[in-house]
Amino acid sequence: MLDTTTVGSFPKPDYLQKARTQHSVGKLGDAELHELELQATREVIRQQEEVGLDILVHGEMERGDMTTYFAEKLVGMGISDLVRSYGNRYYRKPIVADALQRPAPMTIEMFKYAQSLTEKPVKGMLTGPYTMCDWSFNTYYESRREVVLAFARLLHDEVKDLQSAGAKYIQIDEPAISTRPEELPLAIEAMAIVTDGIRAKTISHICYGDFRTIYPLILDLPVDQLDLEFANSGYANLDIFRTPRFTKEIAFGVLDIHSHRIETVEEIVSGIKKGIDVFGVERMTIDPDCGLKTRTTEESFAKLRNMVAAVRQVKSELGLR
Amino acid sequence: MLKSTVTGNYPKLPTQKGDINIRRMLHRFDKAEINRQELEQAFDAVTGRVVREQLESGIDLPTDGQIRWDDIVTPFASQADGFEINGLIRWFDNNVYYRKPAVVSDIKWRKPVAANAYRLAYSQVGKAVKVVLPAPYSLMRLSEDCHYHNQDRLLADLAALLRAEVEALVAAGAEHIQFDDPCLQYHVEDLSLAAEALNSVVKGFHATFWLCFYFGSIEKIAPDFGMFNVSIIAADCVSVPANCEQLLRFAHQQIPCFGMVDARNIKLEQDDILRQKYERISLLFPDAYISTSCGLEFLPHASALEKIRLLGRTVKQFRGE
Repeated sequence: MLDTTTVGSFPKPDYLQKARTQHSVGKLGDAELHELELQATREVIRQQEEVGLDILVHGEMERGDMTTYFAEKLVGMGISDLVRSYGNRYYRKPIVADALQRPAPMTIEMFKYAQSLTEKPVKGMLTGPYTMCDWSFNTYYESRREVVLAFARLLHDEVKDLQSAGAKYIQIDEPAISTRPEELPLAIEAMAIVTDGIRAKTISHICYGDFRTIYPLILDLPVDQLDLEFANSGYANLDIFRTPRFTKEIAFGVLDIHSHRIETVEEIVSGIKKGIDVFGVERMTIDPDCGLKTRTTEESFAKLRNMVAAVRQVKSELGLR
Repeated sequence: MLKSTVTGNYPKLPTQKGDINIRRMLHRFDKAEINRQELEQAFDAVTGRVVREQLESGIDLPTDGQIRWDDIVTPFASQADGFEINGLIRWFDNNVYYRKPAVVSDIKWRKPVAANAYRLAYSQVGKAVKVVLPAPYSLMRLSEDCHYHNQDRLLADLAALLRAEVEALVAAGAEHIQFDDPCLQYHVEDLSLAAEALNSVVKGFHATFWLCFYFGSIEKIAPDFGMFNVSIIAADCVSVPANCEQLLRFAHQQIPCFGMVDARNIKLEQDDILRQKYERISLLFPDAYISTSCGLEFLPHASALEKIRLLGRTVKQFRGE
């Protein structure tokens, strides 16, 4: 009840950014880069513990982008040159260029390493099949449906491996799921394949879309918890979820990760209370709107400190431990 | 004879090493390593490059590539009185985002936004260059009204803003001015309102005005194309292939422009398939335009270049050149 967590990514420290640049031009070896990724992971686990979060993430220090990382691990995929996402931000878009295959587990090593550093639970983190399709070019499969279901089958194997590795929480992000409401049944069908038979708590993070177009059908997504943004809209999108009743657990976004401003404890408390009014305190986890990698380390933990303080205040007021 | 054109924006980053990289220049500007004048010179140089690149690829009617713009709404909102620029919102069904303008006081045009880029582009090639503006209806829909709370008044003021922009463009010599109205496809109940607003923008000016739809279906708009006082109607025939039939059936009072080359996927169309489509179109509309399905900035530069070379080459071949 009112556990605190984050959505997945943390900003990479300067030394790792520089190392990635050097690695990309062949001036740093794989082993040297990997050692720095482990160092950054140790730091971000320690920082999350210090700030007092309940459920940790490994911070995605080894990932550049949430789709490109997996594209680099899968057979059948390539990577394009830079494509603009917004403003002056660009990413390398994956290309589905052949039949998709998972030659080896993609996230298990880093999950195990991060979990070995803490007594607190660490989430297993994946990008969902619908988003993998939607954020990739496709030059191989005949239809989007074929692409989505091909991703779903191989991600199911990855989820099983995460569960076997001890993950109690597995997050399968689907930020693209609200993009085409007419394809929501396909995304639900694909997620059913991914989470089939999984006992770990499953979570799906969705952001930057129009929730009105997918609610209440999104409640059929076969995961235990939906992780949604609210601070970015000033909580204006809360009303969407009043009717019909929200039937899943909710991870409730209270930090605008696209703003440099540090939200005050008071405004986060106010936001959480608005959320409780709609979702009920029993089903709520508290987190930022999205991954924190676009902020600085200082901004990220300043925001998180206030978030944790706000949750403690709300718990105290409600007489919760 | 069929002619080729592009729909709007063009990748800002070059493939060729040594060409000016706008992303890098913006980073350097943010770090105060270059001044505003140097940044503007970089924008000018890239605009020149992309216009020449289109012509060299065989495109009959290029655009300026919108090199200074992040999207088609914020340049106009940020240069006018009455707007604030807010948080990131997904750009239709793409993994691309824009900052949503909020209308916070009476809207008033301050200075030309598109005219300088037009003058520069024209000066580079000495041939007609198409300028792209948002249609007043989509400018309204892509903004948030926090002030007027009266759709008719808001739309009238947005139309006045765009009319001032058109006046500046016509004075600068612009012959082809395109209005993008992607929102209307999703709000056909406002068809009369949108047509009235657009007609008030273009009334009395001597230029070739275009109305362009992308991403969605034009099925419910096409029978009423005649309501719009424009010379050319363009539609995305890739996202919704049936749009091609709608143009063939209903674009009798205007010249149609068929968006046949997919600007959202890197897979190249086959020459002979395109040629078959051109043959069918030219039987009914020998003076039609063939274009990309939407702006090319969804693609990396190398792919965008391949696409416009394909478009330019196939249209020229069809004309027997």
